[in-house]
Amino acid sequence: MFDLYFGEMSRWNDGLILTAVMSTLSVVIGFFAALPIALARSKSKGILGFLALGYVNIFRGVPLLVLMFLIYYGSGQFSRELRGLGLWWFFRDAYYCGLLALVLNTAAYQAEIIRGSLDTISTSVLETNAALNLTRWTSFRRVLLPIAFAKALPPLGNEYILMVKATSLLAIITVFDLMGQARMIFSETFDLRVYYIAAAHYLVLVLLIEWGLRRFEARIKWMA
Amino acid sequence: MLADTAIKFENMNKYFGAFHVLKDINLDVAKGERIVVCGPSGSGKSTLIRCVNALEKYQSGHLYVDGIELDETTSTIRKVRNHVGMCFQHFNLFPHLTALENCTLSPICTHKIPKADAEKQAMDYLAKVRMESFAHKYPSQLSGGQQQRVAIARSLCMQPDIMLFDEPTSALDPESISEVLDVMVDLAGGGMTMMCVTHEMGFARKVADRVVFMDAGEIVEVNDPEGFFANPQEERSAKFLKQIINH
Repeated sequence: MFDLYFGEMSRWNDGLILTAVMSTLSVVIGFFAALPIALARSKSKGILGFLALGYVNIFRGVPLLVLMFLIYYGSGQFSRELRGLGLWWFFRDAYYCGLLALVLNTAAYQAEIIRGSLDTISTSVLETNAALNLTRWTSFRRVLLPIAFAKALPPLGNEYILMVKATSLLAIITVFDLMGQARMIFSETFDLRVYYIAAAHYLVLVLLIEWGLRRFEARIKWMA
Repeated sequence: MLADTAIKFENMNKYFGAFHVLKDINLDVAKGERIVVCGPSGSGKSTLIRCVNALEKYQSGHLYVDGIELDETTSTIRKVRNHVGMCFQHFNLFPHLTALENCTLSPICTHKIPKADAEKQAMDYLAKVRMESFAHKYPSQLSGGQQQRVAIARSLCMQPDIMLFDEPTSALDPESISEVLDVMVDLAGGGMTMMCVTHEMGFARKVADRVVFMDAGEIVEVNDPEGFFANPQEERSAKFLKQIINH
């Protein structure tokens, strides 16, 4: 067990870093992508609300692995068009394709989380914003969004942890995240204990994130 | 319309669906006048003052605020709201902002006042409501009375000509009630036009120029406080006064 870890330490570390980077990037980019979707879901009864609902339903409904395959392997079919558009550098790269799939997926879930907490903000807050003559944009950016974020933090943290584990699917489209490295080491050693080490890495990463979230929540508890 | 009229209701009617909440309201509020609106619950008194800053729409008649006739256009509503401040029963401070930030948000974002000036002005108003030493506290660190005083300062930072109070003390304990009322008495002394929905009859007696008594969506009686409390003109007002004094 020790040699499986210490002997391959630089690969484990590379995998751990990549897993942490991919999950964090996808959650952060997904958060900003989710904001307009959540706003449309919460406030618009027209076409925007409908489009947002469509987005959420599609990307929550399609399995992440299928999405990764469609984007990474599927884009190869359109390589000429993508070259023409100057986008081929993006779609030929498994890392970018994987990140895109993760972002599309988590944005749908995060949009629903944020929409839920926007909807729990009482009308009295909206009336206060109106009475203070705040513009709709100021009201959203400076009041509704911070309050919604504070309320949404526990489920958003949950989504972050889910994403850490979801990144393990990246290994299947040739990305060397933790799981990718584990598969590689396994293919050289045929020692199943490799996956115990991988599991331990995920566990430690999730516990670290959980600890960080708990501290952050405690700091902003007065907000909600 | 007289130049010294701050708010004028003219045959105003309001409905919530089929329910007739405000019936043929006629009332002139002079500049600098302090009006206390009272009446049993469900009588339409909150709805009446919420029409003044367009939190509620009305369906017929006219309502003039600072000479501007309120219609449903955003530009008129925004113009009117620049003249009108409002305090709510549950204070509604922004929980994620300090007392000072609560006071400066709208001046900075809506009126585009430079941050330093907005903060200086906010500190002046916080001092006026005796909350300057709590400027950097968050609402959750303040008592109800303190929160309501910050809410009053926040409204004043918009430099309104008219202040509306919607039962500002009814969510407070007795001690907090008197600290908030003290601030409101100060404000009344400063010549602010005020419309205040309250059950604090002591405040009404001390501060109000006129008391408006409402029941079932109608203005039943408008009287000076002395007359209203000692010698109500209408049977319904007399009955109401008896009920609130009897416990």
